[in-house]
Amino acid sequence: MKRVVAINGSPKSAESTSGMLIKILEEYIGTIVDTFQAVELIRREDAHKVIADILKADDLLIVFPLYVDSLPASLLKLLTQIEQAAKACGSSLPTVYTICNCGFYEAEHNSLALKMTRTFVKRIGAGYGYGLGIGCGGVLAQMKKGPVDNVYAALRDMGDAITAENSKECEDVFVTPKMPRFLYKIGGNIGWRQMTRKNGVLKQIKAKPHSL
Amino acid sequence: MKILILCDRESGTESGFNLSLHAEETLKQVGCEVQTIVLNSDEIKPCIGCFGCWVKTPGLCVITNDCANDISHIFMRSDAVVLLTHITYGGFAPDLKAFLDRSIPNILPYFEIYRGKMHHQMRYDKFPWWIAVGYGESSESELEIFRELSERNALNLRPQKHFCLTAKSAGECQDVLQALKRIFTEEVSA
Repeated sequence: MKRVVAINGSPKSAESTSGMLIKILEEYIGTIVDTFQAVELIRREDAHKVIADILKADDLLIVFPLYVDSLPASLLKLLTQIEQAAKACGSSLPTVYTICNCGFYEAEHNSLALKMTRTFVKRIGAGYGYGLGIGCGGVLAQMKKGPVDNVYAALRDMGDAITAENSKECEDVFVTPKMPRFLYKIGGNIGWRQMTRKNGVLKQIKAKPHSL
Repeated sequence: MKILILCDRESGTESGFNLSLHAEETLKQVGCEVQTIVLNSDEIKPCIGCFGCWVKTPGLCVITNDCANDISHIFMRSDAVVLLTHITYGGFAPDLKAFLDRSIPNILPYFEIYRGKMHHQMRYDKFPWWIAVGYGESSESELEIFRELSERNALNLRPQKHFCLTAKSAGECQDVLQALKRIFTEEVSA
């Protein structure tokens, strides 16, 4: 059985979509996936030991939310630490798979972030599987089937690719749940209003605290 | 013209071609008012994706025990922001990215369709010019990602003007400084 390790690049301490995606893949892969939180790992004193151990895995799964068109800073920092460790690593490196999800409707917003992780993999000289970009990331916690069936199918495909004997590098894949964009947009905007109203600041939602 | 230079720690060193010092000097020479802030990802707390800056304290990050809100204040009151960064996998270095992650209070949570794709609405009437300057040894594909990133950032932040400059060597840094000079000379004399 292959050893699969995951890096959760979400800086959220609990209930992140990235964490949920790792759990789903764990089921499809059929083995326990050791998971590390990037934001915690970069602060650990024994980070170099953990990273050395991560690099011994057969496959490495990097899962994260899109932050300002690219990777969250803490994940980025961890990747630079892994790059340093990989240079000193004599043994073969894991094959890397990446998943990036965003709150925007179109999954293609994730394309640059996936190109960046592919660049990281080239820099460390590891093998790359492919990246999966997911749109409407926020609905994944609320829906398990129907419009999100295609997302689950894409995750199952990635699980199959990870468990396959021979991995080969493929093009990145993009998937957006099957729902009309205007509905997702309206639903999202209503959601923002509701959250703001609940906090008693709906009137200030468009505040400009830094205006001249 | 008021310019904010945001730079990573490396850009003030030899391996960063002392770009932050040269850029500040160049921009002052053309008559701009310049402030430089050296960003440090060890000091800027990570954005925790709580959206409090949109639904609890609109326009301000809820994390208040570091400098991110203060930098945003200077940022939004500048005419232009020059971002000096070591190109890291085609993107910004962690020092820059740590602040950019914390700068989302400066846009609104609401979605809108802009140029065919979903984006957030703008919070402010104008967003400072966005000048991304990437340096360091990079492959062609990394440079291409960096340029594409600058375009993508501009679609999301909608600055009045945006530019992307890159330098792989000390020689190319001179070209970057000349380009910065041209961009702002025209504006200051206008």
